[in-house]
Amino acid sequence: MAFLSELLHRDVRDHKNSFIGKLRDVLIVPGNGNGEKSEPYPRVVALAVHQRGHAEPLLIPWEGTEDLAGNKIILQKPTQTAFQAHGNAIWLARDVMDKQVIDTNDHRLVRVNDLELGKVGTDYRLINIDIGGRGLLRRLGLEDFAESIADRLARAIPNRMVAWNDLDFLPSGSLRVQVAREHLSELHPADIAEILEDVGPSVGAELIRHFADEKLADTLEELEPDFQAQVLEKFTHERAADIVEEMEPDEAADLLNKLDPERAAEIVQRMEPEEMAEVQALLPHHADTAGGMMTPSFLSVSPGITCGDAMTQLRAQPDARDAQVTYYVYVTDANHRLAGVFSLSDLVFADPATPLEDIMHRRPKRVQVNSSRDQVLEKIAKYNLLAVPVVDWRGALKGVVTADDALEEILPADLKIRLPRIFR
Amino acid sequence: MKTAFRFTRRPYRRFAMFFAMLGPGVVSALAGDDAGGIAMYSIVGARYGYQLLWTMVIITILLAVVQEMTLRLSVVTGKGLSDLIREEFGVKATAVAMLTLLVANTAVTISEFVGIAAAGELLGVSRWVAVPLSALLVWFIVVRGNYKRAERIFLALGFVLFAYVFSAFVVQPNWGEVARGTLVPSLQFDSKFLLVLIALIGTTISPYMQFTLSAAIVDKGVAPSAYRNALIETLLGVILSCAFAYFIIVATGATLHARGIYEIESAEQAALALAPIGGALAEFLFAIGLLGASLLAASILPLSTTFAICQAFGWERGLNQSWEDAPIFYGIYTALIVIGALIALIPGVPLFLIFLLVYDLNGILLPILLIMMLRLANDKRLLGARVNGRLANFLGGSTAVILIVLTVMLVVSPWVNF
Repeated sequence: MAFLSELLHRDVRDHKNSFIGKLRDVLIVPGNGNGEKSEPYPRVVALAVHQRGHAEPLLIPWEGTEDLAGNKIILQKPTQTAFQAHGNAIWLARDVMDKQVIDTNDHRLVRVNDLELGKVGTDYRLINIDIGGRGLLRRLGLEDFAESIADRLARAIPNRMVAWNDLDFLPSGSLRVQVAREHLSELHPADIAEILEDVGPSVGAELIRHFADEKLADTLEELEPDFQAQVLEKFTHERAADIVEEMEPDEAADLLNKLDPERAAEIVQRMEPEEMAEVQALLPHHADTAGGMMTPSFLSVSPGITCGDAMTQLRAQPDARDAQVTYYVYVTDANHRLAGVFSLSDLVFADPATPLEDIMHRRPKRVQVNSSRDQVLEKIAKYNLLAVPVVDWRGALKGVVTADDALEEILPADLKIRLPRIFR
Repeated sequence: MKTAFRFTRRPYRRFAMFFAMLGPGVVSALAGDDAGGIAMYSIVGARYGYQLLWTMVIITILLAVVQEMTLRLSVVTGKGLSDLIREEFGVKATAVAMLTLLVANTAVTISEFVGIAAAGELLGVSRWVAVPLSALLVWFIVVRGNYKRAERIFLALGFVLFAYVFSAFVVQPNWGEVARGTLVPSLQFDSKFLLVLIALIGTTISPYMQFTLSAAIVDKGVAPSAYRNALIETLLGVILSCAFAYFIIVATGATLHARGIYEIESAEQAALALAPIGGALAEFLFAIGLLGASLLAASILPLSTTFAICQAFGWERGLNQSWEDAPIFYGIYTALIVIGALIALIPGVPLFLIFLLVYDLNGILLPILLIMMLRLANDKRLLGARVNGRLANFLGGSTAVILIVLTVMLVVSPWVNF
């Protein structure tokens, strides 16, 4: 075991024990350097040694025979050639030490206080990242002192380590290494969103740029509207349109309303006609009304049919799978007027020959497109609805407001309108 | 389908645009005109009249250079100042920088509560009521309350201090002398003068501004392409802040100094500078303005300090965290407010001496952070082609050198006659 902070600045001597220079950095290559599938713990491939009078460090390839444990590093064999630093190498002191990285296990941002190398066979491998107070104390040269105090108080200084394998990097100017990791994109969008809010929109956008459009849209939906807009600003019109298409139409409309009007128009023009139409229908509504809160995707069937036919109708609708609320199915006539509602479970358990009217509630609770936010909330709360249908003045069904979305509307007043986000 | 629809422009948007103009650059620079700032400028105006106005011209340029450097660093790297210090200089230098920041800002927090105490007493409220109440208020607003609204109320209160600008004109100073003080440098080398000069620089270019600016830039995600606009806004803030300071000096110079009051010892005296337009209400105006400025700074300064420190060391931070998850964060934050309030409660604490010493401390510590910033701004790996030019290095370097030289002179001044 050796900590990088303790290795740096140590003397490096050649096999004849004559002084070469001081250790400046340790290089690893994620994966094993041959482009094969990445190993969990990358091997040290070279040492960067600072020589007096040279600006650039000497790169000595790791031969597997040196020992890092002593208080100086002695090379066992004469060095043949200098290590060729290819673009993929990570310089641990320069690229990882002191940087913020993502602990994908706990999905949070941590700061690298030290790096722990372990001997495996003849190799040294990067094992852990020290993110705790112990690492800080070691860097300050106070570890022994703190330990003696802790001993006296009969306490232990906690050791906080994260396995190298569980880390993901923030994009940054200095680290352009492609680390073959899929960790971050595997996290839940809400967890990713929290990390984004910690790093701010610029770094955040880079972090998720390589995500698939759908995953990116899911992540954006977890962010507050202002922050969504700031992140979306970092993408081209074309990509932004692809992302917005994947968002729920109501979220997409709210987001577009937050953008600079010209920019929003550019994005909408690049959307697929179908998604564009959905979003455009929502845009004119004020965000604080039912029209602004609703989503146009819901399940509906026509009246006067049997339960079996209704099942067939639902299956035949291409968009039905994307509906946000699948608990309620609405019955709408030829003019889209809301005639009734029934639950999907009633439909599933009903005999296929039963007329739809038998399982349908004829007077569904509803709100108007221009109903205020409070009216919507009241309806949902009073009647314990999972979603409330939104109708226009003719009674035509325009969309639904889900309890989820309604809940989000209450939260901001309490939680979100406060400080600059970075302090939250 | 081209522009087949229009995005609804809501009436409040135009209002919001106005506040957008008051972006991070303006707010962070105006924050320098807090209780301590007002006190410092009043001290300078009373003691030296228009004599030191020329320093404000130079300080304006230096502040502009420092703020521009901060802006460029944050815009190009997308990282805050404490982030950059930690990543480029390692733990030891970070410990030095953060200790510096903590000491300087603890001192400033004390001065904000001293300002609140003074404002309270002018309004007939005992400091034993005003200070603890404000401390609680500030703590609750930040941790539990509606910060946005509070910020606006405090800002509005603080705007009362614009009365200084009118006062400076109404009192009809001898503009010839004002112009001479502005253009012709004059120096003295006794320790009193040095104390005032260092504090003047320390209050106008206080480290707190740079950390707040960079945090705000990162928070907004200002893109490198938007650098020019952000720069204009930042420079606007610098000019506003310094112009404000300038007029406080003119107003106090034309009132207090002209009447032979050279040493300000109480808030009542300082308030006299507003008498030309406030008349009998001068004390009231001064108290309201002082209260707003102090509360604004007291509510954000401890928080941004704590945040910068926790970010540098990688400690859990942010008000979304619970006390259990982020004990250090809440601990430092609460301690700053408690210490600030407690020291301000010490009976018979010499008000204006505290202000002076606080900003001397700021001025003396500033070079430590300034040198780090200069090194960051010259790092090609960070900024590529956008590293400092020669002029920025010269001016930024000069600021540090001037402060170091002044500090050395201050230390030896009791024994040496310059």
